[in-house]
Amino acid sequence: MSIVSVQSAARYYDDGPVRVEALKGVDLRIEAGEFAALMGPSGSGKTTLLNLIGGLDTPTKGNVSVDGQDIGTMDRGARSDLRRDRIGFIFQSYNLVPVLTAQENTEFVMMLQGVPPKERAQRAKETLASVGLAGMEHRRPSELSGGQQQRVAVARAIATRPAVVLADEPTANLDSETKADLIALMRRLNEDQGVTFLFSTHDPEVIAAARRVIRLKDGQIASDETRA
Amino acid sequence: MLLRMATRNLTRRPIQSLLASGAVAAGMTVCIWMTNFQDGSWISMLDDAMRASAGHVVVQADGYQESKESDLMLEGTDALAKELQALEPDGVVLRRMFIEGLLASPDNTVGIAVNAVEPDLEKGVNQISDKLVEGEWMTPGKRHVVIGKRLAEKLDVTVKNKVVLTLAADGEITGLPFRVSGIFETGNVRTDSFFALAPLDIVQQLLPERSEPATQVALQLEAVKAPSDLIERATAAVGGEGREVLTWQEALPEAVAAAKLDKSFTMFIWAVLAVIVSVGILNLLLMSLFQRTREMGVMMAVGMRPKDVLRLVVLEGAMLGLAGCIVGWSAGQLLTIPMVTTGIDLAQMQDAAPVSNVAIDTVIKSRFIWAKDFGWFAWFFVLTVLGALWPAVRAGRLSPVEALRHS
Ligand SMILES: Nc1ncnc2c1ncn2[C@@H]1O[C@H](COP(=O)(O)OP(=O)(O)OP(=O)(O)O)[C@@H](O)[C@H]1O
Ligand SMILES: [Mg+2]
Repeated sequence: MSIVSVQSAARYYDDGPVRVEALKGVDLRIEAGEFAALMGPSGSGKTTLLNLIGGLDTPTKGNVSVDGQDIGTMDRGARSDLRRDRIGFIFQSYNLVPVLTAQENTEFVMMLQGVPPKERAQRAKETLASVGLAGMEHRRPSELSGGQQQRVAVARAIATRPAVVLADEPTANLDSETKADLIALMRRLNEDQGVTFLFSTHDPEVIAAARRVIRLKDGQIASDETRA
Repeated sequence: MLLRMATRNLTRRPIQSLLASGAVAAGMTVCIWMTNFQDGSWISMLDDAMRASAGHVVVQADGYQESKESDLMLEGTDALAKELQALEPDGVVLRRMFIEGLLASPDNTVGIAVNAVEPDLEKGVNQISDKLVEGEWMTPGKRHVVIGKRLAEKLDVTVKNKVVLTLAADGEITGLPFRVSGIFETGNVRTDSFFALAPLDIVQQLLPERSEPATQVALQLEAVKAPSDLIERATAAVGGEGREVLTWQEALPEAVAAAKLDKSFTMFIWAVLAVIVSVGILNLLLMSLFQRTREMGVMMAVGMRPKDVLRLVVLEGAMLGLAGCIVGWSAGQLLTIPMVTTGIDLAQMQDAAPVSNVAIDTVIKSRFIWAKDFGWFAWFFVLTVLGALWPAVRAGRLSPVEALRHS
């Protein structure tokens, strides 16, 4: 069974009398262990699609399921729990809770899950080390560089061992060196730990690292290639 | 972790947090201080009035309270006083007669109210004995009167001069010469102009038809509050036979009503103050929420439930409120301490006497009114939490997608 299954999903926004068709019938499957990039011009519907897969939003038409659970039939609370337990999120920027340290940010979702404090502290520490942030556990986001903040976000996303990590333009605010490091990190986590990634990007360098590239255009999938 | 987040969120904007919390503290300080002052001074004032013109238990002729007819008097009051005394051996039993009459000097005649009292007992409970500006208090068995300063001026008499007191009682007019033994000044114009005190045993001689007459026999205790069963025991012991047995609140209903009105009016003002203060908390949290929309979106996106977001915001409001409440409450009590030990002297206070012809202590002192003070604490705290509730509900309603678009 696919981890993510999107069937003829459409998402329309009613902006007053105008209807914006952000997604117009998308079919997509993501399997465990994939490292897939979602690319396309601005406004093509990348964020909209990731929001649907992440259970942040529901489709106007069609179905989206994660782990076999249909998001369209879930209420707010159930989607909230699905996000907490099955999905990792990395956003473009300002991913972290500013008043919490790197360690606490990494523990945050585990705290929501009710993981006992000792266990989650241990897991957060290990995860931070695996993203190369050993020794920085007690820094607040404001005391970390942009690249380091994104690494904390990665750590938070993978610490709960989600079915899939969704990253919406995770490198957009980074300089090219940091960007390469972050992509290498995600790739390594994918290869070593089998973490499933689906990320959107404009960036050719990031696309080059992907094993599968899904192109969106005007709310539809224009191409979907898997490289050897 | 929620608690840690709330604390850190508050210290993130220390000035605003201090202001909101400080407003709660200031409001609370005012309420506590004013309550201790106002309720405390009312307790003292009512206690003074109660002791000077009534008692914890008051026995009068049936119907006197209603009609204030000076003809309605008790008789055989020696025995009655003994019975009351038996109820509370440590208490003081006083007999008083409230009558009207004419006081005449060679120069003038003035209609006045006379309290005929037992001089030695009355000295201990009536503040007028402390307000003598000339001469001395009365001596039992002597034809002494103590009169107000303005009355003395009107009659053009001074200490040791003779005056004649005339009563119309039981269909006859009787009079006796008295000597002015002392002159008092309370500051209250009516009391100083139209009021005199005389020994009860002498005034009783003006009413030869009656045996040991008095308007009231009052039992007073050391404590401000009488035991709750005292009135029942007194009614059982001396009630009936044309007598009414009253608590002091029943004997001084106007005074009690005045105190209640005064207190409830100001209570209302302070309660409104508390509401204003909680709006400050609401405002602070709303502003801080607006600035934190994106991070709220992130927290909800990664799986924080709306009700936990709500809880976080309420927690922040509650912590602000609690800090303000504790500081304000303590400050109010601390500032009360000098008011309890020293008090302030308000010489004009005399006009505030809750009962006529009563002198009250012009040094006003506060008291710790614990029950009400804790009530204020609860009221402020509940209001600050309520003030946090609306922003919290709004935060809980945020849609993560919308919030994430916010930057
Ligand atoms: N809440 C909304 N209300 C109305 N229209 C919206 C809303 N969100 C997105 N849209 C529209 O839907 C379309 C797709 O938007 P989306 O954010 O998915 O694009 P994107 O591919 O992520 O673009 P970008 O690369 O700029 O992030 C756009 O035309 C956008 O204006
Ligand atoms: Mg986008």
